[in-house]
Amino acid sequence: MNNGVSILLFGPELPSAGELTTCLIEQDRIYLPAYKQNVNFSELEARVGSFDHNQLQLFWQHQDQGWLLMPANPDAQKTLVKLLPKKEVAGLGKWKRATLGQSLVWKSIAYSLCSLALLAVLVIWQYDTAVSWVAGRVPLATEYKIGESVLTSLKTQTSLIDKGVAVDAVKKIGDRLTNGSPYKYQWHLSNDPAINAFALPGGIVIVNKGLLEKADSANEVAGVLAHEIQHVEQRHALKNMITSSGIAAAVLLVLGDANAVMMIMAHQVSAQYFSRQAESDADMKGIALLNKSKIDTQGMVTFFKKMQEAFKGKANGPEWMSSHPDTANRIQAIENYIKDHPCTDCDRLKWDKKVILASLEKKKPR
Amino acid sequence: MSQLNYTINGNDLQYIKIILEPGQEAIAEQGAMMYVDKHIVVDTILGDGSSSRMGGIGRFWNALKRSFTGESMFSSVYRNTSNKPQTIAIAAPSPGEIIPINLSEHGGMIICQKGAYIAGELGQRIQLAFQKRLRVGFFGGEGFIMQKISGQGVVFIHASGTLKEVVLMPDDELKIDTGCLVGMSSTVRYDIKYTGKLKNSLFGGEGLFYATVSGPGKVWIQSLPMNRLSKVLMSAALTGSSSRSSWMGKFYLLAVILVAIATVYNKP
Repeated sequence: MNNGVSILLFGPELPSAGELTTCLIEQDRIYLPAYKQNVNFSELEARVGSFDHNQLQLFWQHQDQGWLLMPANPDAQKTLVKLLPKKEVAGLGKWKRATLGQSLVWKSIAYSLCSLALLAVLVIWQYDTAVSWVAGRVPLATEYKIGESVLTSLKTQTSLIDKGVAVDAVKKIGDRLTNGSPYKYQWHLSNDPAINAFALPGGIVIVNKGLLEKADSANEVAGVLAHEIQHVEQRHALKNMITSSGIAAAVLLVLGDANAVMMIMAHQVSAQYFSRQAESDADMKGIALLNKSKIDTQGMVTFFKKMQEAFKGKANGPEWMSSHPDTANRIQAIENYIKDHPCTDCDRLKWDKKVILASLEKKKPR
Repeated sequence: MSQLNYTINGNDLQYIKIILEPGQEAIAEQGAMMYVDKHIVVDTILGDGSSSRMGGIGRFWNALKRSFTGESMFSSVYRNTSNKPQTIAIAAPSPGEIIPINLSEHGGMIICQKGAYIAGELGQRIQLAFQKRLRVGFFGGEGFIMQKISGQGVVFIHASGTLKEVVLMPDDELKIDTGCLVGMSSTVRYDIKYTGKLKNSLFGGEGLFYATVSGPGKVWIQSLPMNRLSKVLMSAALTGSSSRSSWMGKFYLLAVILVAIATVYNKP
């Protein structure tokens, strides 16, 4: 049939590394010319051999002693596998399955790793879409519940005012801005002197007294409110939670066991990055909302400028470490937007600042 | 290349003394040198010094892969530049035995546990052998990465404990405690077997699996794997610091003194 396959022969009185020789595959037997020995196919037993578990070893008994041959090189192995009849040599079918199964295992590991990597790339690339999609699965009621629970814990720390002239004034502006929103908004005032306002998921907006004191016109308050409303409408808090848990899962997958420090670092960096994105997003959509509600947008700009004044001289590290974008950049972006989208029929809001502040003063002692 | 002329000295803390003929070279892992003669030039090379199709990057990559097998990325070459025979001595890094293996007698390739290689002839290659069977990699005691030493001539491998060489005939199979396997020729099949009885695996102290090696070929087995040795040393080091016998001794001394005082006071 052919002129011999080069093999390594092992047997009694042969070197332990095997003897390099050739064998001939005949009709129903293997012939070893150097030893004038015949082995019938039926006597052979195929085994999986070598460190890589991919070598064909053929074993047989001769005069109560074990003999074994294995192909000397990969080409010889291919010829042997091709020439030997699968049915007649015991274990050859099993050998084929075993070697095939092993390569299948590694192929499936490689493929699943590849597809995981691909998925990861896809998620990072289409990040916003992915997060929005997940956020869309969460019903409004859940968001509202989260907001309520945060509000309850806030109430234990600070005194919140939810009735009175000042709240009504804020509510008036807010209602105009949130006209037609699916959320049911709640407006609260806090006695905190810091210049700040914040929104909780589900439509709870809290305005600090400090902000009302600092604002010179109702339009400035409206600018801040529009920004906070957009945090609610765009579900930023929810998206932030999803991002954090996503990053935690990714860290867990990559590192196996994630220690607390790594998790906190990952969370911090992602939260800060996300926060800056969200702030810019809320700025832009906030002005759009002001425009839509026919409220003069200049208030937002003037208020940001005041913030910049107020925080001037205070060291705040590089932008990438902060939760808010650089104020100068924000003002620039807002002014650009206003230039591109001028609002001719927008009007200025009116409020009685003195009365509002006085009503807050009265409630203070407690 | 002419054969290396070597002797292995020492019993449990061994070193190899190699006498290099003029112009002859030997290669050893970094930091293994004990002493060399005056006219030996020591040179550092990347990896095992073999060339690669990919040039410098390929050599670097090979060296990097080699560093995963418990060797450093660089190795030392000792060259005799004089016209007289010169001696070099290379020491084993831990208690144990060094054995010389002539690669030509094993089909030019052996597979060893991580970090087994210590010295050899120039031109031998130390490569990464990756265990493709998942269960063997996880439970075989050697992990997924082993060393593939190929080439010609003598290579010196080292492992802790006493090393035993076993020749396996085609139908032989040996059950080895996981972790005791040091090396095997490339024809040997290395697998694991469940110990068979739950009682054995829970209380027998041998773990859930045996490593099995089946012939044909040669295997080298160590009597005391490093992790077993370090476990014993560690527990001895921890309990040794607060020596219990001396504490008991002090207590005994105190009791003797108290009795002595009591007898003195009770005298009248």
